[in-house]
Formats: sequence, structure tokens, C-alpha cells
Amino acid sequence: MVGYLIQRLLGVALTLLVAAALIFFLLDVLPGDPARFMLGINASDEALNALRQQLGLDQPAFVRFGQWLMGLFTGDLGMSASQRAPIAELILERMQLSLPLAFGALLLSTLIGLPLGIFAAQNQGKFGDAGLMGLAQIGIAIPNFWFAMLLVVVFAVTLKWLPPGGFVPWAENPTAAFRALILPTIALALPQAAILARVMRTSLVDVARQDFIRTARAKGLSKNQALWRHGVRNALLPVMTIMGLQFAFLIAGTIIVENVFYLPGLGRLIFTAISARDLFVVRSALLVLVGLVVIIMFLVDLLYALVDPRLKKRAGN
Amino acid sequence: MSLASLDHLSIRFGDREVLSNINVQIEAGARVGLVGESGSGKSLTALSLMNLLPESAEASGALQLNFGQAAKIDATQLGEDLPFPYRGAQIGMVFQEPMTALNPLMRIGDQIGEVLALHRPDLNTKAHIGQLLEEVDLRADMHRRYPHELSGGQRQRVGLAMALAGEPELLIADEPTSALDMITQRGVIDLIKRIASARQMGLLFISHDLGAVAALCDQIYVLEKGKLVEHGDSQAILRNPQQPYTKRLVAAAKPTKRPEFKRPAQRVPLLEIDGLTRQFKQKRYFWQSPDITTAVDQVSFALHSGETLGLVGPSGCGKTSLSRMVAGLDPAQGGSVQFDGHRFGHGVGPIPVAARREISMVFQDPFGSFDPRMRMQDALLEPLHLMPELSAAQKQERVHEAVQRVGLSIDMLHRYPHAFSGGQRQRLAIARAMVLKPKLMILDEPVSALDVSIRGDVLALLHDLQEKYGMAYLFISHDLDVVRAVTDRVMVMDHGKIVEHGKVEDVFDHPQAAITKKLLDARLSI
Repeated sequence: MVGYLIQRLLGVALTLLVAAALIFFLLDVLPGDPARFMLGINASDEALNALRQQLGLDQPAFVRFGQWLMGLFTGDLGMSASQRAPIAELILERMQLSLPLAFGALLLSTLIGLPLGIFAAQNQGKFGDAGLMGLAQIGIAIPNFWFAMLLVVVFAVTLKWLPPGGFVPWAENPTAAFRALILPTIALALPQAAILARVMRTSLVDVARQDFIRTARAKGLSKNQALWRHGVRNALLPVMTIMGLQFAFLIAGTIIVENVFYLPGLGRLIFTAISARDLFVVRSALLVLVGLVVIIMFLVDLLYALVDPRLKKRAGN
Repeated sequence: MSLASLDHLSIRFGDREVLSNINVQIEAGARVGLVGESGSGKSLTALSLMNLLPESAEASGALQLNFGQAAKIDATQLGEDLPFPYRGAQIGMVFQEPMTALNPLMRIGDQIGEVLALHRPDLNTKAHIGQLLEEVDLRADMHRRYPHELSGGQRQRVGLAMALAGEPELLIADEPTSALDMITQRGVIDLIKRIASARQMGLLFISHDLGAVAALCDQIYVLEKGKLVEHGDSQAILRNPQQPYTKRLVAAAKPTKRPEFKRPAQRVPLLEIDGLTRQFKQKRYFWQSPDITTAVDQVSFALHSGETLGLVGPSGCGKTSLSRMVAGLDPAQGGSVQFDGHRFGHGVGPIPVAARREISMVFQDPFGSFDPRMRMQDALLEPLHLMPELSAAQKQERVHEAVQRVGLSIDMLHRYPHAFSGGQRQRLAIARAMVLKPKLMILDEPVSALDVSIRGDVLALLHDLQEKYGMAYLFISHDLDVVRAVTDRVMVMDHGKIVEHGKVEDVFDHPQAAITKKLLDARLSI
């Protein structure tokens, strides 16, 4: 298991390095001069050159790439030109919102999606199955910005149960911060839950046809007992893969949902930084998002090895 | 009164009656065989005794069960809602597929314990699970293993231990050994026989293999297309079958030697294998040096045109690895192949196209070896891309000729694979191998998945094709009776090496190598 961990961690590090290089060099070839942008169109060549030198922009690309990587380790990512604040601080501050939002949505979609999928599989072909899968189809088809606005209209504007947008930092008022995240989390989670429910149902229906379910029934277990004891765990294996992949979409979804709810999250930070051509912010924030996805995929792999003894053997029990 | 009986049982799916009015009696302690070909309704008969019929099945008739207390169950009531306390308790069942019949995520000890928890909670102890494992010739300390850590035969023993855990009075075994190799099969059959007599259980043994039934059962019921055609004492029926269908089955189970035909004298063999070696490297982590497994170890032999060379050996001995190298599908890590003036192999290079079109393969599984979304017409045309010099009309001509040669009609060609029976598909697989008019055909267990009555037809077809076209056959099989009937010479392979070779009669009548003797001893014949 230790060997497996080392091999996987090396893989994670390599993935991140490749991602960092891609992000850096792709943004580097984009037109636009950060120094010019900071100083405005009327700046003199001398001032520009001085600033370029100060920012290290006169160095060759690979040197700047190295400096950026070093900065990622030391936490010194430079200053944001548009926000006039250290980039590392900006990202950390925004993560207070985006992390609970993304992980809350992941948790909520799992808690809703998996039980519904299991229920549908148990009632395969019956009314409950057809109804649920119809709903799931709608859930998948609805764009989440529209769904988010619907939630705002119903729960914030009409019922006035929850705030329609904005965010209060956790340190100031934890309850208000939590309340501010409820609607965005639901808006983000429900379409994902719909996908998960479908995948879970399909997977469990597949597993229910397997020979070992028939063996379990021959032992004297009822159909539902056999499904719960032998089916669900086997059916979860493919679902876990989908959950890992979905996390990437959740992260992308936060950008849209944060805009609808006017939340100062990582997604909005990237969005505004792109509009302001603040590429230093964009590259660091992007890498943080990539890192989150890579880490989740790594955790899914670990979970896989824990759940499936066939992998554990390959992983060196 | 019998332990269990089926009275006038019929089963239908919609309009289709798959089991008509059958009567089966199983006395306490009796070993009853249920014989029939695929689709005859054997498995449905067993599943009705377990109340495990598919939901879409409609049954009629009655089940009588007499476990201490007599119970008569109306077959129309069978289904999920019917209380059926016997399943897993008084009636235990073992299934065919050892690879898939166990939950892959659960330790085998826990899977056995689950039966005990349901039916004998007083016995649900580690010690008792160990005893059950020992009863089926496994070690008690294997209880912590997962299914993938066991061989096929071992898994089938675990399945047997699970069926025995509820202390059944009736054991149903549905083709429990059909997926195992000969030696393992013999072991499991002997084990079932021993346990059934030691526990004085009734046994319902379902099989298409008359040899296995003869070895195990004292009574036989013969099913043909859902109808019971004959039943009685097993020795009497197998020695002296009365019904035409039973006669056909018995005759087909004993393949007869085909008449020899004249072959032109050849000085140079068509195929010469010299020191062929196949190794697999596997490493767990990229920083480790790989483990090397030698699947085929310096094998040499020769094969002449028009000759059939048999290749036998226990599963995992390297038969298939060897055949894939001969066909040029896999690279060799040592040795070379000399074929019809071409040379390929280790240090020489891959198989040249000119040689590839002269070698065809036929595989065991007639269901898996066709693309389900491709019409037969296209599947059979496909190999002809190796012959770009032929015009479209000539290619079509080839396909038609091959299909007629294997005894099928051209108007079937627009169908998809699912519309053919297993036997027809294997004929089509042979036709596909034939369209190139190859000089060598590699037949990897070509009749193992077929019912015995079809098996004879396919073997006869192969013989006729060889006589007409003078192809050489490399014939791989685990069935020694078939090998004896169709081959001229035979090689016995074990652990990647050819341990014995010679004329098939000499090798089988006077075996020298230990593995040959073991294979011959494991044979189940009627």
C-alpha cells in the first residue's frame, strides 16, 4: 500500500507540474502586456521598462515559470494589478467561500443522488422508477444558472427565507455566512444529484443481473436484501469514478453560480481577473482549481483501492 | 414419498412454452441427473425448485417438497411474494460460473457465514466455517481470502461450501463443472459425489456432459426442447438408450475416428517452430524490476499440409499463448516460426502480410467472436482486405463459397450474429477463417462451447474441408476424446513446455509424462 501511495503521489505531482506549465505558457502567449495594463496607455517607455524589470517581465519565459513555481511553494505569488492586493491573500480569502460551496454541493448531491438511484433500481420498471428518472432527466437538462435564479425568486424574493445573494465572512457572522451558502449549494448540487441518481440506478440494475446476486438469493436472501448486501457496494465502484469526474464540473459550475448569487468566490475572482486582463491572478487561481480536481481524483483512486480488494492486491496489500 | 418432486410443471414466457408438463422425482439420498442441450429447459427446472424463476416466467403445475413435513406448492404461486423458507436451508444450490458467482468485494468466509447467519445462527463461528472449507478440500485459513485470490476450481468449492452451510437435504448443482478444465472438473465431481453420500443428501445434477452425469448419478432425466423424453436408471439409459434423441446424445458423446485420406508426400513441412518462447513481464511500480513469467518455453515442432496436430494440456499451460505466436498475433521473446517460405519471430521481425493471409484462427466462443453490430456478410468479407488483388465480385464469390461449404445458405448473410444459433455461429466462424483459403488453420477449442450433437457435425465439417483443401490444422482442445478422434499426432503441454508428443494412439495408450496420465485419468466417459 505504501508503494502504491508513493506511485500515486508522484503521479499527482507530475500532473500538477504539467498543468502548471500548460497554464503558464498558454497565458504567456496571449497578447497583452501586464505592465502596459497597470500603467495605462499614456505611460512612457521608461516607466514601462522599469515596471517590467520590477515585475521580472524582461526575463525569459522559463525563468519566469521557475519563479512562479517557487512562489507557489513560498506563498509569494506577487501582486494583483487590478485588485492592488497580494494574489495569495486574495485566493485564500476566496477559498473560504468556494471550498465550502464545492464540497457542500458534492456532499449534498451524493446524499440526494445515491439513495434516489438505489430506490429507482429497486423499483425498476415501476412507477417510482419512471417518475424519478423523468425528474432526473429534467434536472440534467436545466441549466444551473436558470435554476439558481428560480431559487432566488422563490426562496429569497417571495418567501424571504434566505438572502438572495452576497456573502458575510465566516469570522464576522458564521450563521449569516452559512445561510448565504444554502441556495448556491442547492443550485449547484441538484443537477449533479440528478446525474448521480441516473448513474447509480444504471449501475445497480447492471449489478442486480450478476451471477453473485443470484447466488445471494439462492442462500435465502430476499431480492432487496441481496441488493443491499451484495449489490450496492459493487454498484458504487463505477459511481465513485463519475463522482470524481463530476467534481471538475462542480468547480466550473461555481463560477456561474457565484455570479448569479454575487458571491466573492474563486470563480468570480477568475471571472473578474480575466475581464481585467489580470493574468497573474488568473494563472494562480486556475492552478488552485486544477489542484483541487487532481486531489479529488487522487482521493477517489485511494477509495477505490480501499473498497475493491482486487485493486488492493495490485496496489500491494 | 419423494424428497422433492415436480408434478406436471410447465413454464412459459408469454406465448412461448419452454417447459411442458414435466414430472421429476428426487428421492432422499438419490443422485439424479438432468441432461439436455442448451435451451432444453434444464436450468429453469432447477430454478423453479428454488423459487427463483425470472419474473416474466409463468409456471403451472405443482412442487411437492417433503423436508420433515410435506408441502405442496402450486407452481402458479411461485414468485417473490411466496414465502419460501427452504431456499439456502433445506435446498442448496451451486451454479455454473465460478468466476462470477461469488461477490468480488467480500471475503469468502463472510460469504459462507452469511448463509449460517440466515439459517443456522448457532453454527456461525469461525471454527464451523473452517470445517465447511475443509469439507470441500480447501484450507480453513482460506476464509480471509477474496474470490479473486482463488482459482476457478477453488471458487467452485467455495460455492459448494455455501450451498452446504444450510445443511441441505437436497443439493442442486447446475453445470457446476462445465467451466473448469478436465482435471479440476474431475476433482469437483468426485468431491460432490463423496459429500452427497457422506451427508446422505439428495442431488439434482444438471449437465450437458453425459460423462459427468454417468460418473455421478444413479438416475437420469433427459430433456429435449422443454419436454421430458426419457428417464430411468443412468447406466441402463447410457448403455441402451431407447429414444432417438437420447441415442443421438450418447452417440455424439463418443466421437469416432474419421477415415484417413491420402496426403501427397511432402519433403518440407508447412510449419516449423523452433525454440519459440513467450514471456510476460509485470511490474507493480515503475521503479521495480519486472517479474518475468514464461508462458511458452522453447517450444519446437513441425506440421505438414493436410495434417492435424493436437495440442492438449491443463488450463494455463500455455496452449493459447503458443497458438497466438504461431499466428503472428503476439511477438515471441525467443525462437522463430518458419511457415511456407516465410520466417518471423524473435530477432527476425513480425509476420509478413503474405504469411498472415495463409493462417486463420477459429476461437472457442461462438458468441463473443463476432461483432454484434456487423452483418454476417460484412464480418465474412472483412478478412479479405488482406487480398487487395481480388475484385469486389471475387470477394463476394469467396464469401458465398465459404458459407455454402459450411452448410449454410447465402440468404442468411444479411442477418446479424444474434439471429444464429451457437452451432451456426461456429460454422460461420469457420467460414470466416475459410474465405482466405489459408494453408494453416489454428482451432482453439473450436467445439468446446457447443452441444454434443452439434459438435459431431462441426468436426465432420472440419474433416471434409481438410480433405478438399488440404489445410493443416493445429487443434487445441481439453477434450481428449475429441483430440483422439480428429488428430494424427498430439503434443502434450505443461508449464509452457511440450512434455510429450507422438502419434495420438501411442501417446494416449502409453502415456509417459505424469501430466498426460493425469489428464487421461480425469477423463469422464460413459
